[in-house]
Amino acid sequence: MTFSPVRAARTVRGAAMVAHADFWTIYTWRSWSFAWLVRLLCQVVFFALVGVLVGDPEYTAFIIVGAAMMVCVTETMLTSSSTCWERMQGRMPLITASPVEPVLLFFGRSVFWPVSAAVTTSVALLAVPPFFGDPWALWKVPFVIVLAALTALTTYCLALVVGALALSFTEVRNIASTVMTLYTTAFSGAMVPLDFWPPVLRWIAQALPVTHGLDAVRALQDGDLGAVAAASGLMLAVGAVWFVVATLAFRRVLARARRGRGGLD
Amino acid sequence: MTALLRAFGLGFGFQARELAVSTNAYFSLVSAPFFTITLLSMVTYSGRGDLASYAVVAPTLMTLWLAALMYAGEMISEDREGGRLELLVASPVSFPALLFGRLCGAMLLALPAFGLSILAAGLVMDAWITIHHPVLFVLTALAVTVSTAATAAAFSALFVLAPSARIVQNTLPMPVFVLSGVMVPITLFPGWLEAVGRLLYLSWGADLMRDALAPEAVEHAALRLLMVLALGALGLLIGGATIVRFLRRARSEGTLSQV
Repeated sequence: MTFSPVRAARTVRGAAMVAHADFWTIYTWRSWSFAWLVRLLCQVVFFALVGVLVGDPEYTAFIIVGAAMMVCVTETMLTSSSTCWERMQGRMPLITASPVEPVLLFFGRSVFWPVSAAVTTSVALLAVPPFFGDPWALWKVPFVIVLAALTALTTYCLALVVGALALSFTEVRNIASTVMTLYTTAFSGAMVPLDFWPPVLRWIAQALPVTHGLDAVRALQDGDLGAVAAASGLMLAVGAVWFVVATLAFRRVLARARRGRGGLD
Repeated sequence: MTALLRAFGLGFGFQARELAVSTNAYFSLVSAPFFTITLLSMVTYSGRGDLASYAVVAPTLMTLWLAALMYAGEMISEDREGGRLELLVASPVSFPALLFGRLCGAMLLALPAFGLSILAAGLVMDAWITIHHPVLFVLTALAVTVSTAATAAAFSALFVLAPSARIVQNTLPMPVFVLSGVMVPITLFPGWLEAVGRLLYLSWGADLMRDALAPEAVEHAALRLLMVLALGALGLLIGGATIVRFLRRARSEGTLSQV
């Protein structure tokens, strides 16, 4: 089957319509703003207060950026669950039989998570620091929003790989996303600089898009736009690699299902 | 009273046995070591290794709360889906006492959560925690556990009466963790916010657990322990009364399986 951009766009668009419908079944504007967003902002404040506890304002500012970026990971990793909804709602036989590129379908199917994550992360990055006496300069605000969106997109590519794995083992869909989120929070340089950890953990962190997203946002804090561009480029490259891995993973899952070995009932 | 205790015992025993074979229960434990490592790395990095015990207490309480809300949300609805609710309500045992017993049984999760936090702190971060006031620590842990189950009973009543309140299940933990100072004592908050935090049993429990791990003498231990239990009992009273009212209405209207 040759690649057709039009067909690809149609696949993503169709799946995104399902995502849109799903999202507004889960949330209303009110519950998204006053429940979900508040919960995520409290998560940022929870970690930021540790900076207050240890009595170091500079470190508090460091934590706020890290915790705000973790909002992006927390939300995007929910892709693992929504990918499995296809199987749980009995649509896998139809997907397996359809001529679409599976990764495009699943990309569109959970796209509401990175879109929502881009908004919640931007709000967290922009709204929390002023309460701790460290607001952003106005000219940096558009960059913050773009970096939040790029981090959400690239982390989504990693989340799709987790989703592809969870598709074969649906019972671990929640635990897989939880572990990924907790691991990233601990070891991506969000809460303490990467230098704190042994070399092996530092190397693994390079494979997480958000590690480079964090570098980009911190470089923006320092006003170093060159470093922002470099870190963003790395983040996009890592995201692209994960997208390729997700493509292969979804193809493999569906190929196994066609041979009757995936149990995609 | 004997009947209430019997119902409590039945619920506790049933849930303890189910806990031993429940995969979901073990899944909820996974966050404890990760939170310990994250929080401990933060205090260690900033040169405050003296706060290591905070990083063990907080994940234990957080796991307890998350599990309590999970069980509060699932217990009655699973009974209903499994066709057990009608039988349980028709039986002569007290339903609220049975539910409270089950929630207390589920709270046995606190034990492995604390163990995992202690081990993660020791094995990964080389920060071995000493319990300087073991009797007080055990008493506080028990009081917090019972009060958490009591509060969860109130929430399960809310979830049955208003299924839309299930969003609370996802939303509530983080604001509660901040307000009750599971990691950062609420004495650091502005006065008005500290006053709000004092209304939560968890803030008294977190303070007392941290103090029980510290070498200094603990002030007003009995009074503070009593506050944990009193605030938990308040939750149980509200929850129990709500459940009894709901069951009476559902029975008289014949809507038990529909609500």
